[in-house]
Amino acid sequence: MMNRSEREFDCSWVQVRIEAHLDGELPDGEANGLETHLRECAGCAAELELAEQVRGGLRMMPLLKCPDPVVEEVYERVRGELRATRRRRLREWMDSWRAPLWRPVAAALVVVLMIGGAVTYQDREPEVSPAELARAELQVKWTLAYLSQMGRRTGGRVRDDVLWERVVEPIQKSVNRVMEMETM
Amino acid sequence: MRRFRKLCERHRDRVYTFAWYFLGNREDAEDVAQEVLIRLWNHWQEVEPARLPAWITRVARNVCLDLLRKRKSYRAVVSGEGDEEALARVASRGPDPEKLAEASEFQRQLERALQALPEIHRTVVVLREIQGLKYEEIAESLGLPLNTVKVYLHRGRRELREQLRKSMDDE
Repeated sequence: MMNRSEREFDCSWVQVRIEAHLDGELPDGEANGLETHLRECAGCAAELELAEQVRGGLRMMPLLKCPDPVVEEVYERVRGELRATRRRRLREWMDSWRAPLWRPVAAALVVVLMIGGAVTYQDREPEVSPAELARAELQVKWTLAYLSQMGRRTGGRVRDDVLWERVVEPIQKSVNRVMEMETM
Repeated sequence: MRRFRKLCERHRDRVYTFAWYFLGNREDAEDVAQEVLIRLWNHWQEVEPARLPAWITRVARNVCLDLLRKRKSYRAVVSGEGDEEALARVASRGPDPEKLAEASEFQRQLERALQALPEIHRTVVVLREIQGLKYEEIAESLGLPLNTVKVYLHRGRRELREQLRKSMDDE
């Protein structure tokens, strides 16, 4: 009859712990029991050998080199993306000049000022006193009189400067010259 | 662009190796490597440099899964049927003939058996045993607790062992 320890370390118990044992991850008590079992059980010892072969075989599998064309194709795609991005940014920059921002902003400002002005001044009456009105009337009369006087003076100056000097005087001189020649 | 090229040079083989052993053939591995590097280009500035290796591994696995989904063989591979049909389907895609010729018979059987593992077990086995990542790195890449990673690794190797023993018995 098997004792407790023998029951614990039977083949099925060992089978599921072989990998952990191989990696040195079993607690000391379990590892000792498993090794004892392996010394007495050829089947489990063969399993351990196969497990070692599997682990060794996996670790011998080579690390592979990624072929250069695979990576070159990636670089080419990335370069293409970078070129497209640069072209897009340039186009956006040019578009921003074609439709400048200040136009809509200025239009909005004008509208705001017009509405603001209308709201502010729409109800205001002109505040002018009768005295101010009389003074303004007087100022208008003086202004008109001054302009009339100025007109007369200007007219006289035009007559003296232009008609007398440029027309009358030259005619008078030439008539005098003719008459002097006839008397000779 | 120069920094991106440096990143590509550093990670290209790691991505390709993972995809090759995950999917089992060169053409798919090349497609995955390209897709992962393009995604790296789109996101590398958003990822913390220290977390980049884990990010790349996660993306590589996701791209591999996308590829499998597109092929509609996803269900069979992920569920890890491990049945003859799934094994035959995967084996029919097979690894490179050149590489196979060089490999020993045992290695060849091991590669085939690897393709028939449930997806998550295969991922962990490839990352740990073939690519030599630390448990912590795998846990971070896959978003799994450390102990779960160990459990998946041991299960994966045990399943490989069982499959190999079965194929040896058949012979």
